[in-house]
Amino acid sequence: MQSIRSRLSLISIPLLTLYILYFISGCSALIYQVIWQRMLFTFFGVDLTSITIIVSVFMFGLGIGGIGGGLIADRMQNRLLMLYMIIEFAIAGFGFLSPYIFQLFATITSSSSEAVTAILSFLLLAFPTILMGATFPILVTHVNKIHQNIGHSVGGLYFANTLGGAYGAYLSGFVLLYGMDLVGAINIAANLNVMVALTALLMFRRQK
Amino acid sequence: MMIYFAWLLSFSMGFLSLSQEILWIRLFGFTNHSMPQAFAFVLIVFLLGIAFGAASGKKACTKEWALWKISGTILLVASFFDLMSPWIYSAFAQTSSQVFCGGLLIFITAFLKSMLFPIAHYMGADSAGSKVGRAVSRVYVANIAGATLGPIFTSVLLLNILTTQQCFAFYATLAFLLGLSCLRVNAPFNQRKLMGASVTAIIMLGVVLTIEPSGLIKDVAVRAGEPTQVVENSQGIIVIYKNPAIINNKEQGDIVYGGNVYDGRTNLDPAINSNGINRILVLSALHDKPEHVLMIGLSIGSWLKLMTGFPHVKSIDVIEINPGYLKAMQAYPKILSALSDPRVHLHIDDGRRWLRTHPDNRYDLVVMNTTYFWRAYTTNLLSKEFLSLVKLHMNPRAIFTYNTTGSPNAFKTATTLFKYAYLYENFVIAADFDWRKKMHSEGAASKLAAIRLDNKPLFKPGSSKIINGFLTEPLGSIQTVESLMPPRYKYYNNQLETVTDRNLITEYRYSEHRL
Repeated sequence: MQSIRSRLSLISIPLLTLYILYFISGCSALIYQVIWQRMLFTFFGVDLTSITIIVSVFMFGLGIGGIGGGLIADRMQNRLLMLYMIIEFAIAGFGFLSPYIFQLFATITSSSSEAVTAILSFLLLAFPTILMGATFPILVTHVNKIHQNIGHSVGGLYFANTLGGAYGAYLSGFVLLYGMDLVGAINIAANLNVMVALTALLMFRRQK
Repeated sequence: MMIYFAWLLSFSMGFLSLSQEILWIRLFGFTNHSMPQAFAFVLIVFLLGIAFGAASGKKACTKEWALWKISGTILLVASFFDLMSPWIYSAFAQTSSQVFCGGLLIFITAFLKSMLFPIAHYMGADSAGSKVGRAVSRVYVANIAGATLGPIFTSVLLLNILTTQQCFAFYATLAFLLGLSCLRVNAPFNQRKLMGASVTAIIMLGVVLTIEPSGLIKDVAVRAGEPTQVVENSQGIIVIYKNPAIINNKEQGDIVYGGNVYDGRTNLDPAINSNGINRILVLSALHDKPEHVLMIGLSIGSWLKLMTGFPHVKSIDVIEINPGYLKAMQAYPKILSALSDPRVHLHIDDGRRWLRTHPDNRYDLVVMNTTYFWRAYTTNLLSKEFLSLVKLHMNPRAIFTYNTTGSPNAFKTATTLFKYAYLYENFVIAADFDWRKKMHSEGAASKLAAIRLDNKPLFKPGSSKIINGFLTEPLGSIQTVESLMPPRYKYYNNQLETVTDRNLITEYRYSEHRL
């Protein structure tokens, strides 16, 4: 007990808030991933090729976002929280619109080949997944200014985000879909992003 | 040089982790009958393992520690664990603790590998100075690249050439080799320990490779009889059991399980009718001249074989998502011969996609022997949107029938789209004309009697009692079903809810199966 208290005392409130925010980001990201994949399976089909394409497109977007986020983080070292806030707002915006965008996508690709559908689905998912991927290096760079140890910065943020992801997977698999439909679940995720963005905005203002 | 190795370590961790997640989804999902909750469970536990593994790994990130040695040791431990864990799970698969046991094993699998995540970042980016964002992103992207390629490699290639247990052994070997490479970076080797680890790994791998390739699947599969055939491919796992039951000196037909769920039997004899073939045979009485038939789902093919015996049939399009059934059918030549019938056209594809990409095809009969309503992705075949798509492919006075597998919501959905939708046993028979009159007409029995299989009448002389029994089965109306359903199935206006692409109610809200 003493050990936990002493450890918590080492974490400042802004840092703890950041971990909580990144936990929520991870939670909403997994809700999006599960629900969007489910929506795309409806258009694509549920054979393994389709499932693999969709999962890979998702990961590919996160990867590109990771590269972009790293480059931007080095250039805007004093505005990292503001960047995070803008990204979370943008993800929320896409989230709210996504059911309509996906429906449009379904209409456009109704009789397209698998290759064309795969390319279009990449373009569709590129925007939110690149944004999600960019948050990791941006926040690591921000937190590393406090820790001065990459291993600790990465480990702490990754822990918070992945734990949030696990909670998001729990919500989507065992809670949300028992009481609402896919669009309802998406709206919950988008609202979580808005909450994170607003809190990051407050933190950025205090920091200034 | 060290930076490149850190990237490789990060890549490998992503590759191995996500590949093993795919394998665990396959094994745990199969054991738990492909319920959507089983996939969610694996995802949750895997993410928890990754989270706590990363949190533990960061403790090692101090310069005094021998990080390569730690990484190598973790990977060696992980490789032994990866090799043994599916077998430990199989020992508990038939017990009530299989979910807990599976969860624990999946957690440890993810935990061990993700310990390397902060270590790889530390080794690849800690001396980056002001370029820390860029350095972190490179190690992170290497991890994402591995996590992207791992599932593709596993799903598209490995699962089509190796069985599930062999795939587990393959990735255990990769982890072992990577572990050795990490120790090599931290040279010099402790030769004796290295030799001991290598010999143990080779012996264990040898044991896995020499035992029966599908032994693991047989261990976790339901006990529905003596398994005679296991077909594994990337699309799924099919197990066929010898049916020991003999009733009135007649075998009842082998039992087919797809994804560890009952999928049908090989019986073709209406007098035995162990697989409810009356549900397809009565269709011959409901359409005057069914020339073009669509079957969504082939399974072992007994229903297709029966359909080839219907008079007037000129073409049958069959859509099956899993090519593994073609292999399974080889053991049943009589059924297999249906695929050589020039009227039969088999399409290996997703049903919905095939219908969407063939908008001009029209049919007189559409038959869909759907799997259980609570399995993952069944919404794609039971939803209002899918039924509407099927309806677009139906000729005037065509008949559509599909298995509700006991879901009142699946039945309700058909009644919202077709004027005449009634339950025949657990099948909906739906059309826009009153087909019940045909079923009860005088000529109905003779239409069933006209079905021929391999140029012989399907019904033996003196089968009129059986035929009449098929034709006089009571039909269920939606009003009757709704009045019998308990309140928890009701939505508003005291009515049942319809299945849509968005609400997934058969898989979640009204699923009768929980982990």
